[in-house]
Amino acid sequence: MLAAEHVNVVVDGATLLRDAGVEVRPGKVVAVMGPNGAGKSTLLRVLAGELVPGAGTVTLDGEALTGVSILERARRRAVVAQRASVAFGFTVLETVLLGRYPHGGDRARDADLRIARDALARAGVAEFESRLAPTLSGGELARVMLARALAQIECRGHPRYLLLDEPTGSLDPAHQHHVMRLLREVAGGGEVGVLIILHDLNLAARYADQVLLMRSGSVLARGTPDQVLTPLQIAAAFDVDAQIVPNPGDSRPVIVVTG
Amino acid sequence: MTPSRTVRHRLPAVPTLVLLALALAVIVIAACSVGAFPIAAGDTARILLSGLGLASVDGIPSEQQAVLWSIRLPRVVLGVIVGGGLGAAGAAMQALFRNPLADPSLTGVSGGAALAATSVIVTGVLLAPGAAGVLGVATLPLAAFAGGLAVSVVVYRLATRSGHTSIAALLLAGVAMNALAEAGIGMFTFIANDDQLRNLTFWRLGSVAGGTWPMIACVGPAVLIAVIVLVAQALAYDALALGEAEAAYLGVRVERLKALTLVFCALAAGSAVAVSGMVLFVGLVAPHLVRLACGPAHRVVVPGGMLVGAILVVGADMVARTIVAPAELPLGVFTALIGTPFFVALLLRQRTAWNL
Repeated sequence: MLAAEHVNVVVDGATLLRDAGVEVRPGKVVAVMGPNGAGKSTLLRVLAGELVPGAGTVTLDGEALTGVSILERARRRAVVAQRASVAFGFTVLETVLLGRYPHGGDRARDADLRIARDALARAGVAEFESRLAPTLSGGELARVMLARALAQIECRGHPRYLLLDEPTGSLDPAHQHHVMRLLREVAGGGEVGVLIILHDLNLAARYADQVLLMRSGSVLARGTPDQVLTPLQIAAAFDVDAQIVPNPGDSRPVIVVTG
Repeated sequence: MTPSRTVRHRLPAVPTLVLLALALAVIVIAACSVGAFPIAAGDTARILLSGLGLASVDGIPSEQQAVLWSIRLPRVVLGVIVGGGLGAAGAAMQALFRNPLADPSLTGVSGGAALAATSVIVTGVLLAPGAAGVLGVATLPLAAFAGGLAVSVVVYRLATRSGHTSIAALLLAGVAMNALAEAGIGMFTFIANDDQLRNLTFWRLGSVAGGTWPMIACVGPAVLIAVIVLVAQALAYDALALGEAEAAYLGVRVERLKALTLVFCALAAGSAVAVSGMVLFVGLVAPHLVRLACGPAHRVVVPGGMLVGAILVVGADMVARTIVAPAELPLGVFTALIGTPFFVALLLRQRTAWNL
């Protein structure tokens, strides 16, 4: 389990996180939601080990994260940041192979190549293999970065974690659902825990096991989508009116934001 | 899908590096052979191999051997060291700044090294004659290293905020550092005496003509160590292409990598400046040529940049001293003539991408 408890982060006098916490369990998908500036990305960076909180604890499989070397962290968790860029003319395949960096080897071995190609295929970008990464569109690059993260956590036998900051932001609706189904499938193996920052209430309701609702650096609510994504709590977090509307032909209701 | 968006044919890494090493050997022999006192290329090769105990020099006149060992070879070896150091440093700086426009001369690192070296030439010996006596031939390279390191730290701080490097800020910081270095060098030129002035002028134009074995013994190991350290970071440089935060997520110790790169680039570039003055643009052109041929993987670009840099400097020096013989064109002038259009072409091709 990758967990943060009672975490405080203060940067330049501004409190970004106040007594925040989250648990990412192997096999589960956690969606982190909240308005802009709620501290979602900060919480992700704390879990990734990039930010060390001023107070509180962060543990990776029971061990304090600060005690785990950064190479060892890289073998056990991958991060897909919100904005991606690739300098120089690396191809898509070479970019995905960078995910194998923490697993050693001074050149791509056949096994690494196989893992990279498999990750490309799962992310639905296999046909871009030979494209130069800097020439991809935002949505294409986002999926390549997802493939790179999948290649990074491809090593069986111990729990791994995937942390994604709005990976669906630049995707069309079909690809949003494709990515969410893929993440469910990754978690479904039971060894990978997924934490994903999302803005789409319905994507979270449909695909997440747990939802963490944040506002102003604090956790407003955590629980299953049914428990958390209620009109009352949505209003408290986002200052909008929402209704839960039955969806004929589907067991899941739809959340409609009415203003 | 237009062809330019997919990968063009890339030369394989290891055969290309072997080929470049052979090309360097050929151009070293050629550069040792041509000049006012020509030596047959076969004889040059035999004399060089005899130094390793691999050939005999029977039948080769001793004047030829003397010219080779004491005049031509030090100059050519110095060219290899200067070009190799600048090429590898250029490749590593481009990796660090995640941009193909970074180069020891454009970022002001060479300028800072030159200012420090100039101050030693003009005043250092007066202010601390004892220190210069102890350090001897290493005084100038040490000063240049310190000057180059100081500027590279300043430029890095100015150009990079929270892991993101602005290429505009980088180039402008380089402009500022170069202007400062120019002003300082101008001041030292003003107070220099006639002898120092002559030394300064020729040194600033860039030349490997002053190569001597003691000088080589001093900067050779420094550049060699720097190149080995920089080449060893190649895989981490690849990861850095995704950004500093992403490289850290992949397990790269980014702060350590940045410090190593700044220190050893300053060592390589500072050593080159101390012994050859301002040889411009080699650090820009050499890695770029390798990238064009083999793609951006740094396990090729860093050692390849070193080899191409050495080939460029030895070749340019050979042309510079034969084209208007018996006079010599300054090497720095010659590399700037080649490098400037190259730099402008790079700028034009990429200015839309960076909104310059």
